[in-house]
Amino acid sequence: MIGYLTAILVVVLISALVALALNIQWGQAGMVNFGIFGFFAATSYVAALSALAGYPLLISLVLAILTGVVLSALVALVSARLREDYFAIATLAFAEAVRLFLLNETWLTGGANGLPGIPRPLSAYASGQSYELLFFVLALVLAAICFVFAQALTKSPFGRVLRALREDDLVAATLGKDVLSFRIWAFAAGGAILGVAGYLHSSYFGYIDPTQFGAFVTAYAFMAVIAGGRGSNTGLLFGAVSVMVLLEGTRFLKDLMPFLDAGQAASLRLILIGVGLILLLIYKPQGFFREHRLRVNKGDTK
Amino acid sequence: MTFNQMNRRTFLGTTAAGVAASALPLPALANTGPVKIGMISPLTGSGGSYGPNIVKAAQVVATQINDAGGILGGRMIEIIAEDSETNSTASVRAARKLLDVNQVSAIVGMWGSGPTLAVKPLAIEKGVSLSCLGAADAITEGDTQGLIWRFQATGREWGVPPAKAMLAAGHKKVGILAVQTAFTQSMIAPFIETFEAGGGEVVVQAEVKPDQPSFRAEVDKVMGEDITAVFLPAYVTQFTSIVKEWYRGGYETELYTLTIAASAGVNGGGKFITAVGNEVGEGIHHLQPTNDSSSASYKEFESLMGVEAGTFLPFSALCADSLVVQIGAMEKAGTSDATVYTKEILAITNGPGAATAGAVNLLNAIRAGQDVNYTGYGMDVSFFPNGNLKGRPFGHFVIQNGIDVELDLV
Repeated sequence: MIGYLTAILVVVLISALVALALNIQWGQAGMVNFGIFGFFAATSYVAALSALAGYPLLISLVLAILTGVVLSALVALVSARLREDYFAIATLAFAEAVRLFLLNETWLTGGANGLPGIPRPLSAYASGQSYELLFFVLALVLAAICFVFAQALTKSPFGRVLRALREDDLVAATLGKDVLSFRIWAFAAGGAILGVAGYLHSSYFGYIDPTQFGAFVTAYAFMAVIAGGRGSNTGLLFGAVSVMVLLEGTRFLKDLMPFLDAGQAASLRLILIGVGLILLLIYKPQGFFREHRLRVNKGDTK
Repeated sequence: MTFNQMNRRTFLGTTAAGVAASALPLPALANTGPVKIGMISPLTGSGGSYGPNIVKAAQVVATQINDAGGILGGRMIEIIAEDSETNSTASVRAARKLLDVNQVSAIVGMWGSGPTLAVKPLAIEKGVSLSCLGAADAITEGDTQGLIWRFQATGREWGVPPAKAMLAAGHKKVGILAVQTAFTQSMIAPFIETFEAGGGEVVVQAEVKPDQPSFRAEVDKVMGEDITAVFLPAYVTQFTSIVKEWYRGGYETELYTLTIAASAGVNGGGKFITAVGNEVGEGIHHLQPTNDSSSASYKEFESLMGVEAGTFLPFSALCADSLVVQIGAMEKAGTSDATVYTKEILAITNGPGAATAGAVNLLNAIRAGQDVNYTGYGMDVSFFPNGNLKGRPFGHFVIQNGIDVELDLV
């Protein structure tokens, strides 16, 4: 049981990191990134390839982060003039391009067969159950650093400008803010976090293939951010946990219903996940937490 | 605007409730309780049309064994089936649950190369045996510690026979329209190699994604070339849509595919033919490792599954075989510990010993201390020591009047 919970918590941390990136890009800066799975895939593959080439943890991690930052900044730069929906389409196109590249450049990525046998970091220090705990601690430390980074961004003047851009970029531009450069930096900041997520993903699973990076990654990230409350970093942690409780908890519910055949039980499980999300959107449309805003003390308003 | 804020007490309460709920399942009882067998099968997603019958095959065989008194001195077999969602990350979560929470002794019915490769290291680490239905070579490569068994021909074995069949039929210029999965991709290179070595030419090649809403562009691209036949490695869902486009386009090109995609069954009850109708299916060629549907053990399997005689059930017979082989090895070794009992697998499948078919027969023969050579439900099952199934000739079928007609063996 402990092993299972540790594994699920690691998966939650990875999906929380993806959601954290989305929260900076979309939650705060208003840049709808439907193609987040493409960036996640690219960073995962870079981390995997560098680990397979024998580079240690730190170098793989840094390479993955750099990939995330550079790709995100480039995509934000070339699609600078696109707004909301059109920007979302551009990111989706980018993700599709990444997917096709991964599928077809077999010499590098293994194509549809993927990359098996990715070395796991720190495996010299522990094995079996205790390695799972060690990896969990590694994931927790990296996620905590990302979280602190995201919180600092959110509370900084930079974060305030992002929220201003989200609400009305014309107003922000009128006030002398360089809209393009803020957008590129916001997107790149998200990309950096995706780099960490990609590193953890590839080294945790030890095997990656293109089917792991589908639109469902985007869907889970949006679900986590929406459930947690758009713009709130603390909230999305809760959101990511709720999504995983829905995904995994339903497996156990199914075990309690032996009268269903396997096909029906699997379909029922997916229906329950859907119903859970709908209920969430009906009863908590603004999410569990609210986004960070400056407090105004009572005395100050006079 | 008001925000609904969750306070700390509610947060902690909900989290605790969630954790408690996930801890509900019963603790495992080691050597006296049931022998737990896990399954990670594609019940939803692009492999979703195969999963339910794969799981059912294991369940009916387990029920048969349990009714005859179980194994290892009366222990019952319990099948715990998880949905792989045809996706490797979901499969890993499912495997964690089976290995850590349910503490299964073996995993069978692991379908798809990607999911199998993702679950493989977990099974090896836990010392649990994994029987898979995936074709990628990498599955049985590396140190598997004798735990990984592939109840399926490798991709290479799948690619060569269609090329030979097309050459034999006199096709010189052909195309390939393949679905992008590890399984189908692994057969393309051997197909091209064999076909070109035989003097033919692959003129055009195109790929489709498993979940594409329409295949029209790719079908037009391939069929529009100057070719006489197309090789279409796909699963039944995509093949059905591709064939509809082919028929609508009025193309004369002959279609060659895998039996798992295009089976009509000798009774016309196959999923493909019921979806497209006899007229559309007429003249489609398909191949697969021989599955002797007239054998007594296949007839027994059909009656266990409760289907009409002559129905083709893709992957199911092999999944049932994988369960029987694992159970047989447990009985022979006297333990459900996979690191011990998997050493008996070759002795059961490769002989020497009397050819034995059926789960109950096999268990009785083993209990009687006889040497056995297990012949599976659909075909003879023998292994290489690395866990790969030994190759068999491929049957070449063509659909005529809505039923499969066997042409020859390749």
